[in-house]
Amino acid sequence: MTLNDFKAQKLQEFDALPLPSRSEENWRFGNLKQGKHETIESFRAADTSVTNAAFIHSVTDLSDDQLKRLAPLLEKSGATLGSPKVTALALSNIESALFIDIPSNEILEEPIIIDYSVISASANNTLLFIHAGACSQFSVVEKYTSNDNAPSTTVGVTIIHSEASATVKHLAIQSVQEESRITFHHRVDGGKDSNISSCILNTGAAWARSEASAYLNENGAHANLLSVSVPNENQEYDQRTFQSHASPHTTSDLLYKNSLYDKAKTVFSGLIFVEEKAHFTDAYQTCRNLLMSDTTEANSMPGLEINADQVKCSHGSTSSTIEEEEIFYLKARGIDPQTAKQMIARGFLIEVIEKLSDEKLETLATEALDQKLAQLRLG
Amino acid sequence: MSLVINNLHAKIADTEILKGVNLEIPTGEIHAIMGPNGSGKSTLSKIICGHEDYEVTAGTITMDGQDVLELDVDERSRAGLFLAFQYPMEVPGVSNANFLRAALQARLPKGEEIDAVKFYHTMYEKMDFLEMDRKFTGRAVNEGFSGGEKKRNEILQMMMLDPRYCLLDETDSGLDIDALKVVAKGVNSMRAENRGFLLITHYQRLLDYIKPDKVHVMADGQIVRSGGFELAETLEAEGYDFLKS
Repeated sequence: MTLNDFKAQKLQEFDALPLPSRSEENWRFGNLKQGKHETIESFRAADTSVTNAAFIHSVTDLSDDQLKRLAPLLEKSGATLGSPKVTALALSNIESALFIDIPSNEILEEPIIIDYSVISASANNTLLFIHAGACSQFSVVEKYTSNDNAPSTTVGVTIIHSEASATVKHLAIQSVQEESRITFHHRVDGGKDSNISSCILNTGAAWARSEASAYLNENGAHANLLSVSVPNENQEYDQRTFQSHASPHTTSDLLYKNSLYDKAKTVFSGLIFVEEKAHFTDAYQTCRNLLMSDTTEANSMPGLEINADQVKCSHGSTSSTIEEEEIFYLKARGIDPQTAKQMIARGFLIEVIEKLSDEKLETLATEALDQKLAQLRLG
Repeated sequence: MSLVINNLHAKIADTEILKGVNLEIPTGEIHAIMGPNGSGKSTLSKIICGHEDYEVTAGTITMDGQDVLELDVDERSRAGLFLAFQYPMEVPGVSNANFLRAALQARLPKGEEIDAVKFYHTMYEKMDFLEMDRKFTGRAVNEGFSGGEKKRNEILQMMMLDPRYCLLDETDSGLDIDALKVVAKGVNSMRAENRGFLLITHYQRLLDYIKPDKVHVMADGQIVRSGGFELAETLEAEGYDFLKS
């Protein structure tokens, strides 16, 4: 399929697909007004700059070999967790897409960092396809900020496909202007014995929805789906996840943590799906909410569907406030109550970031987190 | 200079726990409080530090003349009080080093920053002294620590914060003899003319390693006997029943 064919197909899908509706499970507790994107007719690419650009290409500038590697990623690029219509429209802007093509056995010491500056008063798309060659090891960071202090709309698509034994770490840092909305569609497909981590850190936007899927179709594939969110005031973060196990001996681990302030709201809905033949699957799903004020709202809908025997799966979600005894311990060391609460909340979130097990990515994520925490006023 | 507790009454919900405690701990001295379970020993230490669950209904606590009851928990700590907890809390995601740094930072005037090099130097020196592995600096506070490691960590915090009055709440409970010796070594190294200690314990064992200047016995919310080290020996030999004699 040529890029032009793909574009035509996506435009067609956009026309044919219905708007999201309340009857869809994927929009339970969700904000349909934001999710419908009713007024958007076309997207433009966000301004983009890249650090460590050796293996990153515009899709309009690919060799035949590279196009062949891109093809399966394009095929799998459609959204399935609630926002296929708007994602199809964003994907129709395929000529603006970037392709990271890492050769087999290539090991990158430095992360590839993509800075997106989303343009106010318009609908922005970011389209990133990542092909990890066999045994390659690298990390990719996508940073989302706004070009000025006015609202915007963004749809960010990141599709990662790994060959055997690749190790990929992906971190998306979202800190766009606070009246903006943003929808992420992240998908990882793990090759045999591959290890892919994908982490999303949300601090900005009025409404941010992330739809993240991991498809483990080859023996021994492992995925980590991670998320850190710090919504305050009236920010709403909506998180939908899918862990699909189709082969034996595949593992996945999902850890989402939200620290909610003021009147913030989060929705988490996740499903672990284990196919009949996927024996010896290990799959975990945990969502934890820390309620920093009594006017926040955290909704969690964890889910499991297991069709194989001999699997280890667990899911769970918790919502809690900081224990008084924990604050007392810090205060008894001379730390004032505000700082004590911030330290505990930060520690709660840092545990997710540490799962990236990559010093450079952890530093970038922690900086973004600290920037947000510094802005918060505690009651 | 002393920590003075005068006719202290306190309750939790509707239950009166302290029923008129009188105690003076001058700097330069180590005092021990012994007593049966439920006598109010641990409560006393928590109230001195300002635990919000308890309400002081009468009496005073002063530290070198300063009214302690007027201060919040964190202010009391910064003013020079330290409580080594019987059950130290775990603080996930906060490294020991960052925790200590924040506690020390809280003692500096606004705008002044801790000298990181000096901080690590001092911390490592004290950890070596307490025979703590340096890897503990990067580990989350008390998370996954054994009972003994937690207690050592309390002593490390005490040594780093350099308080004027140290309260140790059953620091010996759950310690094997080697850990007890290390903890005692830490406390003894801090014995000083300008510092006072209050050890709360069930057993004489701790007092074999940290020699107290005075021993008090607490029962039913009051100090009922005070004396020298021999009082601890009598208690050990005869049990708390001797109080009734």
